[in-house]
Amino acid sequence: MGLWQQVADGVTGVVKGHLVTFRNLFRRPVTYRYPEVRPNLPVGTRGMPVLLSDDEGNLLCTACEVCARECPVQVIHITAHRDENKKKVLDEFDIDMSRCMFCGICAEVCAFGAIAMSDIYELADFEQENLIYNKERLAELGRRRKGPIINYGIKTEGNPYQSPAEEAEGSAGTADKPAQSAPATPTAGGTSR
Amino acid sequence: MPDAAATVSGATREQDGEEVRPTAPDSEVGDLHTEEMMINMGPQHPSTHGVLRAVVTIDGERVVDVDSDVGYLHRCFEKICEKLTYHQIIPYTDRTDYLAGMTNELALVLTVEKALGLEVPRRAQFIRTIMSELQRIHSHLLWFGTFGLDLGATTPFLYAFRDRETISDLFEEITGARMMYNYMRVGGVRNDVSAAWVKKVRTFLRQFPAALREYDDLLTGNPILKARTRGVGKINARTAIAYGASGPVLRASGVPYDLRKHDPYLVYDELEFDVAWASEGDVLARYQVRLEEMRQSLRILEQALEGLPEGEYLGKAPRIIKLPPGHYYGHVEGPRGEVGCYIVSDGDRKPYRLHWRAPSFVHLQLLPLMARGHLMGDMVAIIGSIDIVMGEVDR
Amino acid sequence: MYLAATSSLPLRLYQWTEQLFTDLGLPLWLLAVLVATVKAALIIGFILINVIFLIWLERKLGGHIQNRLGPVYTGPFGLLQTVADALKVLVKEDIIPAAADRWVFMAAPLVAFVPSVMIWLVVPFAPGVQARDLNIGTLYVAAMTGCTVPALLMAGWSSGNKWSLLGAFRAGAQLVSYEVPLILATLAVVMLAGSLSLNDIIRAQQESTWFIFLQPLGFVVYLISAIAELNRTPFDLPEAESELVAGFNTEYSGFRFAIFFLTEYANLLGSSAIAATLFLGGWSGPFLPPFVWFLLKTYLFVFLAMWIRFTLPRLRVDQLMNLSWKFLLPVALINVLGTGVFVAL
Repeated sequence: MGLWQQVADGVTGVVKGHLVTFRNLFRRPVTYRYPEVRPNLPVGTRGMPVLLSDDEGNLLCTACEVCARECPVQVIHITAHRDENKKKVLDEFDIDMSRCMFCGICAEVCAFGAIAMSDIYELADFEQENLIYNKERLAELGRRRKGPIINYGIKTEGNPYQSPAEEAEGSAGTADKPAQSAPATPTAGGTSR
Repeated sequence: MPDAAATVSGATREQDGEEVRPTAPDSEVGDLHTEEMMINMGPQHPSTHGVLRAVVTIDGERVVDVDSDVGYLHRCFEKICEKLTYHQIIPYTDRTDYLAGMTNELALVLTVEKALGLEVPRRAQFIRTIMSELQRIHSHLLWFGTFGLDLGATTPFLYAFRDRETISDLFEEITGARMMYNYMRVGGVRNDVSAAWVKKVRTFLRQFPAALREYDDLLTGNPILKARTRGVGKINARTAIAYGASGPVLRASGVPYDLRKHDPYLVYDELEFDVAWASEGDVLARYQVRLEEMRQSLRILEQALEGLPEGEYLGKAPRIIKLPPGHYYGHVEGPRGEVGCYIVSDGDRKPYRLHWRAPSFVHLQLLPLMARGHLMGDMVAIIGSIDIVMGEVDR
Repeated sequence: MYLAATSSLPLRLYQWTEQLFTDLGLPLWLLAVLVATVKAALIIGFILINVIFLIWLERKLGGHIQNRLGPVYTGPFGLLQTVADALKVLVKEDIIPAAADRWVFMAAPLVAFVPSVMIWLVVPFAPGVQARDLNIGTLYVAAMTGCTVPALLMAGWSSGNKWSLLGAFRAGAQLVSYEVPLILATLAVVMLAGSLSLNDIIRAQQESTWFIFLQPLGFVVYLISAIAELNRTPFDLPEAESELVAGFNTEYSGFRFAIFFLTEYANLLGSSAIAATLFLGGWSGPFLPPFVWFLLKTYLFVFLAMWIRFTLPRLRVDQLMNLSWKFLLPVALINVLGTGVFVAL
């Protein structure tokens, strides 16, 4: 390859590169302004795990402690007592979100469909203690469920960090999802399986 | 291997003869005496890809020696695994090579399945293949971006991330996560893929070649890139094999060895693809091999989507997995090379010992051989070209 | 006291002040100092405003080239981003490393900044609007750009950091090497115009045509060398982020870093203005006022520099030297030779 060939190749290479960047200058940016514009997460996104309730608002959890056993990082803490019928009653259900790694195994192993991974992912807090979610808080978040359980996950509404405008848009956006009406009661093992 | 070690010690000088530069050139210029300087590259450095610390001895700008110091990201992965059941290990494997979670999980579940003698449903095998190849493109895209960044071009990084985002979204839709998938299961996969998702993958396959062409125009054809990479960081086939290199690093040195071809797992033996390889063994060769691998992955994806059968996505597996006592090794072709999982079982639910073969760790040992005699700027290009992930090196 | 004769308002203002001074019985040298101060203030103001805009432009342009948005939050289109950043940087703690050579470390940013402003002494903004029309204008510009080298060497050496040192060495070698083709490219223009004065060069271009058409080769050499002089990608080796962390300004923070940053962009603006003057006919042009033409042409060059920055990867040290001494220098020499023959004919 002669010198001129080299120079010519070099110039074409450089010019081609510049054309690429110039074309992209007029493309629509692919990024969006995150806190104002929110991603439309698919159902099944593994955000924080929440506890699901039935129609009457009772937790589906039976305190079988499978999730606590299977959790790889051991962040689920459950205490229960037996009532007069020898049935287990859930007393405490704490998840230490500061150590949770969002693997979703808890939701997966639950035979009663009592835990699901929600789309809540903005968990920052000023106090570390606040990251330990107790039964009531987890249940409250679980009641925000809208839509079906898909891939062990749910979508929530009334996200504390959601702007009102986005919320209106968000509910409109989910209307065209394949399964519109939220089943009132999640059946046992109620996943898309 | 005493023989290999002998080759290796002399490898810097002997490799491919003419391209080698003197290790300590012109230290004496007239009466001027110059001294070598030791410089700490990392663990906080923009282009050590995480927390690699390389103690570099330089003479002016020329690298005399490199001593890499690892362990800043050590998280006791292997030790933790001894306390976990096999299902619980899966999310941890994501965190070794955090840019290629799918293939890591695959290495583990394939080993466990091999030990159990499990039959995996065909649909699950196809899904695993699709995920592995998407992961390969995903990982190579990030490598492409950071490699451009190492060479001082910021724009390829953003373009690569733009296109990588599509795959991240595809992963998220099925697995629920963008990096830490926790998707492979012993006997199958966690969730089934939907027809809509398959359609989205097809759209991606249609659009991605245009992006690859854009990369070629932007970076591959660039004379500066060629000048920066050609003949830099050469490793010949013998040295690469002696050091246990695998993946693109080995293939760029003229050894077309690919586990997908030479020890086929999943359904790779039914799919048609070429092993991307080059013979030069320099940074440019590794660059070209990776770009070509992305193209081959597209071919594989095309066929895998075509052949995706109906059926179960999660086969029958024992609820409590206990491997029979013994030693098991399974490996897959990850984006960086051979990802190996070595399990010693004493018959319990947990492995007695688990060892992870991380390609980056192996390739990092080639760094001194590659970098000696080159300039500081080359050093960065070389680190970029072996595509290390410190999470995998330190585990 | 030289002052432009063609623009009437400054002239009248000057005459009025002169009258005032004589009426009040003040010495005329005081007037000269006053005029110089006003000019300096105007120029520095011009530079500051433009630099603020330039930094914003670079980030916005870079953002859109990379399919991003760039700054959006501060002010309309994020225009005030630089102001916010400047404020942030100014209130930061002034850290001087313990290992640093204190006084040299503190002086380096100023030594770098001064020549970047000095260039503007001879830049013709519009007919007659020029701080001083030196008859050796181009030579002066070359001399001033050469003054950046010691500043960078000072910064790198005094930081007491190995990365800074490496960056400083690179800067020294690079700036000295590229000075040569830069001056040779300018020389060809000077030969065509027959004068070193920037005003004369513009007038020569008004008579014939823009020198970019007569000197395409010279323009390319100038462009490459100028970008190298400015330490911008693909020649950003002195501060090569991925190699040397931040090169010579690794240890700088707070307002000292801000001054380096300011210098960088002031130099970009200065080089662009000189390029516009040498090759694009400066302020001359139809319809629009001369000052607008001047700005447009300057920003055309600025855009080129930014476009290149966001496209190309960085060269290696030895390749950088090769490009200068083995390619640009011969090309520039041939160009000068060709121009000589052209002028002689």
